[in-house]
Amino acid sequence: MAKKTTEAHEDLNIDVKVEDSGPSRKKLNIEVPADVVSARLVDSLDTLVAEVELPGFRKGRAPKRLVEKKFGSTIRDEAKKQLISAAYSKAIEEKELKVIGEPTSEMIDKIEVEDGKALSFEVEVEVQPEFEMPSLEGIEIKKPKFEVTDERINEEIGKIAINEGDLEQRDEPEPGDYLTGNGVMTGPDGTEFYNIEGCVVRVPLTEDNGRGMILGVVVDDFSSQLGLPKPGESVTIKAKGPEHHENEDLRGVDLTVAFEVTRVDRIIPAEVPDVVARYGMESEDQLKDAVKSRLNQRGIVEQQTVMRHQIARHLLDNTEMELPERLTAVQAMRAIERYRYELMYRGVDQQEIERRVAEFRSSSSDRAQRELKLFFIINQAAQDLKVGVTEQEVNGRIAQMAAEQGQRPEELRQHLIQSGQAQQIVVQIREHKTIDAIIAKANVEEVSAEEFEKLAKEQAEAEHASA
Amino acid sequence: MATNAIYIIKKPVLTEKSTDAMNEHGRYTFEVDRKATKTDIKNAIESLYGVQVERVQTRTQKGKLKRLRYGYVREKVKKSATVRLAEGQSIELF
Repeated sequence: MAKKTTEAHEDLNIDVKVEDSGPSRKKLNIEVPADVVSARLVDSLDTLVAEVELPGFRKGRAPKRLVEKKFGSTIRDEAKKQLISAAYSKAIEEKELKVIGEPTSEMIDKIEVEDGKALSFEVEVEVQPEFEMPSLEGIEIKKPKFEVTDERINEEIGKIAINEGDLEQRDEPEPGDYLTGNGVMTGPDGTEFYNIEGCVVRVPLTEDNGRGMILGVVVDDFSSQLGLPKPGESVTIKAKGPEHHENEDLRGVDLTVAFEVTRVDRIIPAEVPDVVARYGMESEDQLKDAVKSRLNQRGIVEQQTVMRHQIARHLLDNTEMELPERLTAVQAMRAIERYRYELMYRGVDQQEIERRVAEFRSSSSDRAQRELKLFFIINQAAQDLKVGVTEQEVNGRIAQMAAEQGQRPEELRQHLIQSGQAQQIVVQIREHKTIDAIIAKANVEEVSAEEFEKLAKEQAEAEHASA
Repeated sequence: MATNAIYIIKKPVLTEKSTDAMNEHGRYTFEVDRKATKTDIKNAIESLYGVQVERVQTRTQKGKLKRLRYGYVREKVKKSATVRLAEGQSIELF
């Protein structure tokens, strides 16, 4: 039920209406009175008149009306930004809203600031839901010991050999081969969602039980729909839009993907001596030592992950919270990106990450809601425990992830900044530090490597079951 | 030189001096075609802005000699006119 409150702020003189628009979402209706708008426009104009240097006039001597005529739209845009920003901040402060992320509004770009007219706008914000935090002290958790066995080292070398392997072009595909081509995803009414040249698809193996992925969407009967198309042939894949896709238009709709195969490739794993040479090592033993060291580091990460999962489970089980039935695009995107970076941090290879992310999109509502709930709880815990993130920590995490992905740290850093996802790393570190701070207060019991395996298996099964 | 008003009046001259003259004495300055006569200017202003012109003063600025890397060139001659309007009339220039 919508709940409305109205209040006038004397100091900034704005009128704010707050309306519930679903669990953890609020709609703010803000009105800035005409006199405030006029005063801001006059202020902006006066500032500009004092600063501007027009041809034929000394600095600050140009007539106001001339400056207004020349820079009117810029002044109004600037005043609009300042008014909206100030009014929004004031509204948040006055209504004591704990806002998460950026506000969204469809109308802000369209509104115009005019002298003598009030400025009204609506924004929707995601807010921290109200809930009672469970106690963060003395949580019972198990810390598994780990050891790097020869079997794990050989398995890892096998993966490296595949990564370092060569592509062999084939005329006919077989299970496990990669098909490259043009993929066009359309909706039931013919709306084109994606048109990707260079779309890569893997022909499912027997152990995949026919499941496969195309353009980030998991298809259960992918194997039978895809068949074994040769270069030049086209196939049509029918799929259901994942319920938690970042693109809301895609959710739950019948999708058709037209895929035209241009080439078929098979990965021929590199020989171990070649891998040794490519890594600039002297012997296979040296490679094994390097892999062992990497696995040791990964083991520590896994150990932390297992403990973090136990903390997360405890927090989830002991917190009552009202959550939205359906995730918004922003929430879905955040949950997916959060999951993606967690997997990257854990050293999961790129292909596996994409597969798991695609599965995550098709996962049940429970899992998506649990992720959202955990995000809110940890956000609150981070505030309570005053957890901050330094730039060195961000750089360190990027370097670690780059090493796991076989990339250069600067390259990954640049990519994250350009794609606007550097914030995800900050969020991830904040989450890890918060949970680590809770672990520091927890009652930790060390368990054997076997127990570690058991816990990891349980965790994987739990993840699988929720997916 | 009777021709279209928009070819005679090129643009208003907006400088500190011209805006002062405009605000204090109701005298408006325009850059005009160099071949335009005072009568042409008077008629052009009257037809363009719908006002009554009482007096036209013109001046011609010789083009300055500019040195470029391949020699000297002379800038174009500029003619400007200051017009005084009838009592109580004005032009919205900006």
